[in-house]
Amino acid sequence: MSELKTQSRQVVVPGETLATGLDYLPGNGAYRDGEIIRSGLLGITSVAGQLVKVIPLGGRYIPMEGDIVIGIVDEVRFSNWSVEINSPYKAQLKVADASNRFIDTRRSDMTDFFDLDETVIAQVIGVDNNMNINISLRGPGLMKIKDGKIILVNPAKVPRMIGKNGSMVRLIKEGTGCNITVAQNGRIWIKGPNKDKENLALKAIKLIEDEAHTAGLTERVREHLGMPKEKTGGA
Amino acid sequence: MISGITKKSIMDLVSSGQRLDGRGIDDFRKPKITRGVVKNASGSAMVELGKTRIIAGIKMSVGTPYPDKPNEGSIATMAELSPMAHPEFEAGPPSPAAIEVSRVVDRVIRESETLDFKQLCITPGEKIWLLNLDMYVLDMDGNLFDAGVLGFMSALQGVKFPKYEDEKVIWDETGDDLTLSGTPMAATFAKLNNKIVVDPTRTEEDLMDARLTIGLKDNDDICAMQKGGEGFFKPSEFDDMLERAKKHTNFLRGLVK
Amino acid sequence: MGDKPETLITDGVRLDGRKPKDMRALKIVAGFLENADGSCYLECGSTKVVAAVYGPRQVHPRHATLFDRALVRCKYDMAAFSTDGNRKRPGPDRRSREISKVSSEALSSVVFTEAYPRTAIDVFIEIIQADASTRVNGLTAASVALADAGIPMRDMLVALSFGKIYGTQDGKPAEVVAVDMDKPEDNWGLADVALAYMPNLERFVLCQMDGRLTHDEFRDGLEMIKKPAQELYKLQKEALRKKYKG
Repeated sequence: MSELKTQSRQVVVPGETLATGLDYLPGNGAYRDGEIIRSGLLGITSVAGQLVKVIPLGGRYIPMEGDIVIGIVDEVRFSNWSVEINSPYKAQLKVADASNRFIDTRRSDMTDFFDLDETVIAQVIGVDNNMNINISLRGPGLMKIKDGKIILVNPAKVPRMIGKNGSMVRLIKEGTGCNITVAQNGRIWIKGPNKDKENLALKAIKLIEDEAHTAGLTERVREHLGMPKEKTGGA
Repeated sequence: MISGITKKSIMDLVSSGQRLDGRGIDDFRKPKITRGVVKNASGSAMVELGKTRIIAGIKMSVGTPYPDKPNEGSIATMAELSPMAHPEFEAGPPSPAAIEVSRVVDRVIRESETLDFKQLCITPGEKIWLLNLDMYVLDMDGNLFDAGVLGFMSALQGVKFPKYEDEKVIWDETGDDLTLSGTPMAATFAKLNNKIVVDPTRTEEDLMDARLTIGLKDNDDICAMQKGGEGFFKPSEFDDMLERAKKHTNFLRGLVK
Repeated sequence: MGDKPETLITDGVRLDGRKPKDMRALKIVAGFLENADGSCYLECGSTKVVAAVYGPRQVHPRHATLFDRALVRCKYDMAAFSTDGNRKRPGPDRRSREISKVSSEALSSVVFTEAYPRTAIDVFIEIIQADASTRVNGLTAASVALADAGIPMRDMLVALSFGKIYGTQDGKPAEVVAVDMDKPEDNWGLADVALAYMPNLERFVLCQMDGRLTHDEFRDGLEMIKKPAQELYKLQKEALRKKYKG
C-alpha cells in the first residue's frame, strides 16, 4: 500500500523517507530505493499529485541548455574564449557564437572582442556528456557588460529571485528603475540610473536571498522598495 | 573569481572613502575573541575578525638552549592556512604566504620583548621551555597578521608552566604563571587606488598594490614591520600609517587586557 | 596520559559517569564557516571537530580526474595543539593519511558521485581538540557539511565508536562492551571499533577495529550502537533544519 510520509514545504535531509509504495514517483532531488522514495538532498519537499520532489537549498550551479549565465572571461585562446560561469565546469565561447557579425580571426585580435576579466551575459547552447559547455552571445539581451554591479547569490535561490513568470524581478525593476538580469548561475547584473537606485535594488536582492524560503516575501520586498501594498496580497 | 566590473566598483568606492563591506577606510572590523577553546593547549583563543576566523593555540615543549643563549628559552610560531579556509588554499607544505604570516606574527611578539625568554629556562645550558605558537586559519577573509597577533596575545594570558620533574613533563600539574610585560599588537594597511585602508579583506588584499603591517608596543614604539605586495609607499604614507596604527593597536590591546 | 586505571567501569558506571550505551554530550552546528560551500562544527564530550566541503569543483591535479563521476577526497588533520601532552607535529603522518583514505571511501559511497562527472568534492576535517573517537566524529561532521553544501546523497552518514572496557561487576572482574570511547577508554580499553553507518539504508561504510573481541561481543556492539546512531542522526537533522529555519 502506498503512503505519503511527508507534505509540501518540509525541510528534509538526504535519506529521509518521503513516500512508500509504487504509486508515488520520485522527481528531482528524490530517488527510489525499492518500495521507498527517499530524499537525495538537503532541501524542501514539493508534492504534486503522485510526484514527490526535493528542491535544493544550496549547491553549485550545473549548466543546462537554454540557461542564461553571467560569465567572466578567464582565458583568451586562438579561436575561442574560456569563460568562468560560477560552476565546476568552464564554458567555451567560440568565435562563431560570439557575435552576430562575422569575425575574421586572421585580421583581428581576439582581445578586441573579449579580454581577460571582462563580463558577458550569455546563453548555454550546448552541454555534452563530458560536460563540455558551449555558450553564445547571439540573441536578445546577450552582450558584454561594462558597468553597473554584479552580485553573487546562491544559485539555488535564483528561481525565487525571478519569481513566478518573472514577477519578483519585475517588481524590483519597477520599484528601482534599474535594469536587472538574473542569471541561472547565481550572478545578477544591476544597472541603474544612479548608485542609490542600484543600492536599493541590491538590498532587495539580499533580502530575497536571506528570506528565500519564507512566506510573505513579495510583500516585504514591496515594503523595502517603498511601494504601495498590493490589494490582492502577496505570495 | 572577481570580474573587471567588481574590481572597478571597489576602486571607485575606495576613492570616495568607502569600502565594499560598508566600512570607511580607517575602520577596523570589531574582533570577537573566545578564550580557552582548546583545553589540551596551555593557552588558546579563537579570533573572528569579520569573516576571518582563526584558532591560536600554545603548547609547551622541552628543548635545548642555543649555545650563545644558555639560559633562555624561545618561541616557535607556525601558521596553518587550512584548505578549508579558502577555495584557493591547498593542502600540503606551508606556502610562502603562510610562512610570511607566521614569521611576521613571530617578530611582532618576539621583538616587543613582552616575553622575557629567561623565564623559559629550566636548567641553564641544558633544558629550556619552547613555546609553540600555532595558528590555524579556518576561514579566510583577509588580515591574518593582526588576527594572529591578537589570537596569540589573548592565548598567552594566563598560561601556566607544567611541572618538569626527572626529565619528564607532568602536564596535569601546573606551576608558575607565564609573565608578560606588555601587549604588542599589529595593524595592517593595504594601498588600493592610492588610498590606504586598514584591516583589509581578502578581496582588498587580492586587488591591493601594497601592504604594510606595523607592530607596536604598549608605548607605541615600533617592534616589527613588513611590507608586502608589488607596489610602493611614499614617505608621507608611512607617516600616515604609523599615526593610524597607534589608534588601531590601542583598540586591539584594549580587547585583550 | 597518566597511569593505567584499575577499572574503567564499575557496576555498569564508566569513569565519567556514563552507562555503556551512553554517548558523551553532543553538539552539532551546520554552516559554521563562511567561505566553504558547506561546513559543520561538532562537539562530542571534549572532542571538537570542524568539517568543511568545497565542490563540486574542478579537479587539481588534472590527472586525478574521473570521467564518469566526481572524485570525493577527504583530508583528516589534527591541529598541533589538539592533543593532550606533547604538541603534535603539524601535517599528515601515516595515521592521518590512512584515516583520510578510509574516510574518502566512506564518503564516496554516500554521495551520488555520478551526478558530477570530472569534478572534485573536497572534504576537510580538522580536529581542534582530541579526546578520542576523532575519526568518527570527523565523519559525522563531514556528512553534515556535505548535505549543507547541497551535494546529492543517498543518506546521511553517522559514525561512532564502540569498544570493550574492563572493570568490575558486583566485586568480580568484568569486561563490558560500551559505545563512544573517550580518552582513557581508548588508551587502556581492550578493543576499539570505529564504524560509519547510513542510518536509513542501514549500510556500514567504515569499519576499523583493533584489540580483542569475541564474535558475540562484536554483534552486541553493532546492536548497541543502533540507538545512539539514531540519536546522532536526529541531531544532524536538527542542525541542518535549524540553519534554514533560523
